[in-house]
Amino acid sequence: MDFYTTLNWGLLIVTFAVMIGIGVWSGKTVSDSDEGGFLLAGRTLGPFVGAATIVATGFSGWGFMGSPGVAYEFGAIEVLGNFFFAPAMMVAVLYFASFMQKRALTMGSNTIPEYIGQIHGGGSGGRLLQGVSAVITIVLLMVFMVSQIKAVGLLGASWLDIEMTTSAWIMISVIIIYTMWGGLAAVAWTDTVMVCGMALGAIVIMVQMFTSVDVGEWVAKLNEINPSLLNPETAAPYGDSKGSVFLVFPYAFLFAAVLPYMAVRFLAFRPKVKMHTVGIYVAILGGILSLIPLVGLYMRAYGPELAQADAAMPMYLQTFLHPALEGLITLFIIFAMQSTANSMLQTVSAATSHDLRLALNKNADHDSPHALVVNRVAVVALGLLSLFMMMYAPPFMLSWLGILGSGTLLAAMIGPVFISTFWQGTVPGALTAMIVGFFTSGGLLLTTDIGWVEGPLIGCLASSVCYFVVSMATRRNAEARRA
Amino acid sequence: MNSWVLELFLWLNGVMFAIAFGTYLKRSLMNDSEQ
Repeated sequence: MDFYTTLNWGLLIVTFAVMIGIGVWSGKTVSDSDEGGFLLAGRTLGPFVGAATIVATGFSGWGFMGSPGVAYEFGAIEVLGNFFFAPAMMVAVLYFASFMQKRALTMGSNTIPEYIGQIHGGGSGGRLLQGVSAVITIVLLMVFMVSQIKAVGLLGASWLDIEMTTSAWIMISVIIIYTMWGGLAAVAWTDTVMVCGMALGAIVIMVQMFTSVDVGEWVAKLNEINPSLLNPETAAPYGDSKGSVFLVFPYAFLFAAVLPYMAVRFLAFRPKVKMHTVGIYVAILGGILSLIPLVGLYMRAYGPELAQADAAMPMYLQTFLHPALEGLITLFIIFAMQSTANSMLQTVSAATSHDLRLALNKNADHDSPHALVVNRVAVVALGLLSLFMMMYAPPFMLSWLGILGSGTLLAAMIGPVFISTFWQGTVPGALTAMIVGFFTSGGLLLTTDIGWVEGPLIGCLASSVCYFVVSMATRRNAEARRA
Repeated sequence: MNSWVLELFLWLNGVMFAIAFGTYLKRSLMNDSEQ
């Protein structure tokens, strides 16, 4: 083992010890008489930790690895496309989060499926919605989580010079330990540490790039290679017309406001937190991280020619940074992947141990020591299950699997989570919306070559229309029966 | 910069921070006046 690999092992051991320490420390919010302690960090998240966990979860490994590759191949359009996630998260925080937070607090919702059930009136209909939304969440987030574990396993393997499966085991084990111990509080606090590392990594990269070249010369070089890198005629890979890139904004907004592993954070804020302070932190952190795809343009102008665009970031680190710095930034990229994976594990576990349990048994234990044990066992069991699934997952299409999982979940949840916060539909309306959204987006992504933004957005439209139409129709029927 | 995409990127960054800080100031002033 060479010196720098040993250094990487040292970094890994130190940071993992810190993460587990945070898990144990944040375990103080866990109480065996209130499930909200484990599932919602006891509703204690302040502005910075809340913003940090939203940004860390929203910016997955894609921002560091996939996006620079797309920028290398297609040019500056990816810098713009990837950027939209930052303002979208900020708008979701400023103009949606407090509505959802207040309603969830009034109803006592501990998870997004529970919120869906309660906002539609609770009772047996509410339990049905809670169960169906939990099943959809589990199925689709498991797909996404497997792709993240595979990606972190692959990166960790080359970083530590070990087998991919061993690397994935190491990476997921630490997530299981701290999530089991401290629940959402542990996830949020470790996300905070990780997003600081990610932002630091982005700043180091920007300093290296902007101090090593003249911007005018950089632009001239790119124009010499291909003028459409900086002035594209289309928005490829987002679509044929230039305007297609703007579709990323509504997609990213719904991503932040609707997806259960993102939106659950709004429920976990301290009741009196000032969302305008959270918005500032989200804008700053998101703004810094959205600069990362510039690496693709730098590599295109100054780096060696790449056979595969996806290698833009690893090759940049290897070519332009000192090996010690390369190791440190790779750790920050691993952080980006882990901070998304831990949130998904927490959400999938809560959907299994809390939502399915309550949906299937109306007399199930609530806010009891028994419920806490079930919640903790679910974290371990689903973490291990995702590892086994990862070992048999196809060794390709990692990004596509992620898109299939998150995009389809988005289309299924828009009516019951987002629209219902402002306009309450009925149980049949919510059920139809979830099923139509699931099959429309999933079907389009699986059977056609439609874009990854367009498929879920069409699913969202179909789901929203169904939510309105079926809710109006069934509401009239219910009123007629009552009359 | 001679790139419509990067110019738009910079403008939108400006808009994002203007909304973030504008909303912060507006809501802070409203809170102060309520107190």
